[in-house]
Amino acid sequence: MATTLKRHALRIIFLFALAAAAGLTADWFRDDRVLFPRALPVFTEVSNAP
Amino acid sequence: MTTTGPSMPIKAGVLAGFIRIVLGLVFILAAWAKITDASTFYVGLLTYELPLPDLVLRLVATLLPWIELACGLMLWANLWADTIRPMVTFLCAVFVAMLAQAAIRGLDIDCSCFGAGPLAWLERKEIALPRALILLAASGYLSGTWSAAGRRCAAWIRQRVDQRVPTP
Repeated sequence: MATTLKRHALRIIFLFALAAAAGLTADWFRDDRVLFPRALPVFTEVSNAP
Repeated sequence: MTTTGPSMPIKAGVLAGFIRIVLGLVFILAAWAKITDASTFYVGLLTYELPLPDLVLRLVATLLPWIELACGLMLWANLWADTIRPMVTFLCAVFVAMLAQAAIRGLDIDCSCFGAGPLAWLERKEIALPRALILLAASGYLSGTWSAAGRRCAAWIRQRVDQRVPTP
């Protein structure tokens, strides 16, 4: 019983690690990142006031 | 006795194989739609108005599609069946719970499962919950959850009945 549970747990951990590696890598190379959003462009107001 | 010909009943193995292929296909299509448009999936998660931190939702939007893809591919390959099938049932139960709580709270949202591609019609709220329930029933059949639950219920009822039988 314990061996079976350990086997299932190891498989699920392996799957999650695989998904994490793939997901984080894919997100890093994406233009519209979800987990690591790119810094928003900083707009500086140009004032023509004298 | 075995029957042959057109009236032969569908064998349980054939049915399980068919369900496995269909479930795998659904998981792969849903995963691919989310992987190719992760930001839309993240926005879809926000519309559920869940009391979860933003980082958790971002992690779900990043990782869940890949877990679905792995589950779908493993269902097709019939790999690690004793682990993957209950995991698919658990995922389907989570999807049903998410859609049910949104329906109960009266949120007017699409389920965000299949993206905006050709399968977008599956996202309509009147289709999403029945579809998720059918997938849950199918995955439960595949993983043997229902038969195991039925056996437990039958054993529990038998035990109660045996206790009530007066001893002579």
